[in-house]
Amino acid sequence: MKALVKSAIAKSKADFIEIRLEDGNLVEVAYSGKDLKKAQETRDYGGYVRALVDGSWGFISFNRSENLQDYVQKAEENARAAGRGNVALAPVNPVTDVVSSAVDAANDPRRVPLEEKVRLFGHFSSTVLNLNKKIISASVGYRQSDRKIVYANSEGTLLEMNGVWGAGGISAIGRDGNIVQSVHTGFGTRTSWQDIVDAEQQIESLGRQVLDLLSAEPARGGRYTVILDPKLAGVFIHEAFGHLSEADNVSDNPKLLSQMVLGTRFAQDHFNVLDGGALENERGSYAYDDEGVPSTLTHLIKDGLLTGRLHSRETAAAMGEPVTGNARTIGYRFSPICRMSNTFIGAGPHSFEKMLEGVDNGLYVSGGGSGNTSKGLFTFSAEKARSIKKGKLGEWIRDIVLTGNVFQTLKDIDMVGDDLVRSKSGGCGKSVGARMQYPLCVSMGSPHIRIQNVLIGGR
Amino acid sequence: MERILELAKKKADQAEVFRIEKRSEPACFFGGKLTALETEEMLATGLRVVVNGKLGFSSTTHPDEGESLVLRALESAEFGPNADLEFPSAVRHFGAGKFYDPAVIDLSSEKQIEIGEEMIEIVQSSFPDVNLEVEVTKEAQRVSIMNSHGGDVSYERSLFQAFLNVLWILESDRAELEHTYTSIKLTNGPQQMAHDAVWRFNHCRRVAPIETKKMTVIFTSLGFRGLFVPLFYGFNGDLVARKLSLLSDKLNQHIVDPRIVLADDPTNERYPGSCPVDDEGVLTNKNILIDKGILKSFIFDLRSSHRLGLKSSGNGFKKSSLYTGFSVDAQPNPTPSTFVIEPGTISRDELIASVKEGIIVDDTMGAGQGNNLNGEFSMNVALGYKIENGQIVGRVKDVMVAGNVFEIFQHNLRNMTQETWPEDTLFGRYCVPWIAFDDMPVSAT
Repeated sequence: MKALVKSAIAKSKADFIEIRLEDGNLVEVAYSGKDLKKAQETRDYGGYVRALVDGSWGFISFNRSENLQDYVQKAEENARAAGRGNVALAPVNPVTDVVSSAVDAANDPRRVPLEEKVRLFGHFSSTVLNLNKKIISASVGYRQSDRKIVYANSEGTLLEMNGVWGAGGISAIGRDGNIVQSVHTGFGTRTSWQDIVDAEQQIESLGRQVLDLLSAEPARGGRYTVILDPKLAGVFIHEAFGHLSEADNVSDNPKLLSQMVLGTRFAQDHFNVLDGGALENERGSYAYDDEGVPSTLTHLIKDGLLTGRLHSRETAAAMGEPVTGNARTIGYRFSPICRMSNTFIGAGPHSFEKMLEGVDNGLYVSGGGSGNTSKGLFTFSAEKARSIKKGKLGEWIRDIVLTGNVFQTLKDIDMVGDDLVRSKSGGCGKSVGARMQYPLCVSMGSPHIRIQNVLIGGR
Repeated sequence: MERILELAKKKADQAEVFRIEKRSEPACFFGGKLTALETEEMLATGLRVVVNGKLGFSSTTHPDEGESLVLRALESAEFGPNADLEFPSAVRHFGAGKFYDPAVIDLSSEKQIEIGEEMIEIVQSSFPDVNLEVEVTKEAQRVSIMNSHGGDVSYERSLFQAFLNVLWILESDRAELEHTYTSIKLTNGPQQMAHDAVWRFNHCRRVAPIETKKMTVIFTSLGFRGLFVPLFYGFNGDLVARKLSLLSDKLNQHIVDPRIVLADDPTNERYPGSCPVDDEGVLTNKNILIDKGILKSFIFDLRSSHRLGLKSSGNGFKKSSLYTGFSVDAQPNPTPSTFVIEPGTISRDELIASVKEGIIVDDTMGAGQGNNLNGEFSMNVALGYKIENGQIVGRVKDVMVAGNVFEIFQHNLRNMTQETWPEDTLFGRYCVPWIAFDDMPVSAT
């Protein structure tokens, strides 16, 4: 295989060419209440060739890999037909490496039979259904992807990488009269099936949470001092700020770029945001990105100032900034684009108790977070909230929606907790043109944070 | 395919092989400039088996995989759901017929680039400062399905698609439009979509004040996206079979205003979802769902129809969730081909001129986030305009619209336009007029 790839590259006349071949398996198990909806394993095999000629890209993806040479030619033809462009690549050192993720051999998720996965998640589902009488349904699922990738380019980089990503989720859905509420917990692993088995410990608290929410009052709209829990704060920083840090979202857009000039004050002192694939065994971790660039850890905001962004080789060259190893693809059907890896708000000095102090009328908002963003504007729904009155946690509140402008909201963060937590499940979506690239494995992390003056939707 | 079917039949009581071959070629423009030409070739195979009354599934994109594909499907059947279905025995080879336009397939890359440049020119001549992302794509598909009941169908299809993203950054604000047009045939839809974008952004030049109250709300065909999801939930045969649809027991009853005629229409080459058979090999037909306000039918795949002792309506499409498109590793689910609402009697201009106070909802954030099973919708208006005394007076901001889709179609329908537009959205495909509702609560946040 490697020999084929090398010889196809050697014959290319492009200014730059790269080939990716990939062989992956996807295991999916899903229950809806007692019903097993899905128990399957599928295979995804294919590759791409991407060629750069006279500053324009040509790309082809395929499932038949035997005629690699033809695809190299077609990618070059596409690049030539695109005419003269201004794409250049930031220089990097060629690397040759073989990377296998460090899996616990005795608990390798890939070796656990489908039957056992079906059994465990069936058990999770019935455990949820038996939590209490108000629970009307459960939604439980597992998704495990493992892949072998060969990557080579015309600069001499040759990589073999393989790894496994397992992630599960458990939702409990409760009903009281016309009110339906659901709560969710996610979990995952890069190394051991035991991490999935241990998720059972998270189920019991879901029952209590559903009851609390069913007796909760709906949110009243208005502006509040808000404390976000690590889960929601992680979603917030990923969705509202992280996507703006992807260099391809700003490199061709002078107006947006003018709001993202490095060195600009974005937040108060001691507020830090980082992203990096170089963390060990997190969901968004990798040794090399999909252009063969070693992963790093990048300060996006340091002590309140905008200090970095997430680059591919193309955007790093276009903007004259260092490469960060953030060119990623969800698979061989797409060219790599600028993506996040493990994005997180750095831990700060404050305890949760300290944050509560001095909040006269606020909300402690937590969990969930389906949301939308549009280049700086955001809308998120949260799973649940509790009122804060005179520094004390009060009643439960449901149907919470937060909206705002990220540039203002970041400046309004006045306290950062000391209790950083990272997500172990979930994926990130990004569209290029009409095609959504989802799900990409990432993690989102944060400690508790406190934000002044947040707009909460409600009746 | 024959080989896989034979291998599967040795161990399974029933088997079905699905295969798609496609070639998709987008020309991609970023920052208003051509940056890449791409080609996607796909060859993917799905296999469903029934063993001891249980359904199993697997898929592969490896061109030579046979035995291990069958083994995975058999293993899946050990735990699979009860196989309440029977594969159809139709034999039809449609070839490159009604759903294949050679003009799309023969489109040169130069012509694709020209169309993209025209779209950019149309928008930039009115809005030189906006950031533009454009794709113009041609695609050829061949779908074949064979099963152990002798069923053997195939067809070829062309798709012509254009994508347009316009981002307009203002001082402390921004307006964004993301729009996709898809057709079986070669049309001037992409250029029209660009002209429509100019119309949209012309109304964003100033912000109109708005306060919380009841008023007329017009959903454009793009804005209808927020209503499509709860509407589709009502007609989803799987939810009907499980008595979870709120329309489950309302057949032949008046459920909405008598001016409403709603169909699922896979037969029209103008619509993006048209095809002669679904992904289970069932022949498709135009299916009237609501006739003059009366509920007539639902959309079914093989499994959901079998549970009710009915025939599939030819709506079993491989789409794994509301938020994803076709996927070979998904099993078929009841999915609309294209939902079509028959046009109304007045023009867009007349409709706008007839409204004393109201808003036009053109694009939404948060569509599909309400309680869809109950028919409820709740959305932020991402792109919307205020009407006062029959005139559009500016853009509205920080506005939410919520309600129940079946209730507003029953009690609040004001009017529908003669003009319709086929939309290809993340949630699904539909072709509808602009639809106006009176006395809708609009909240300004």
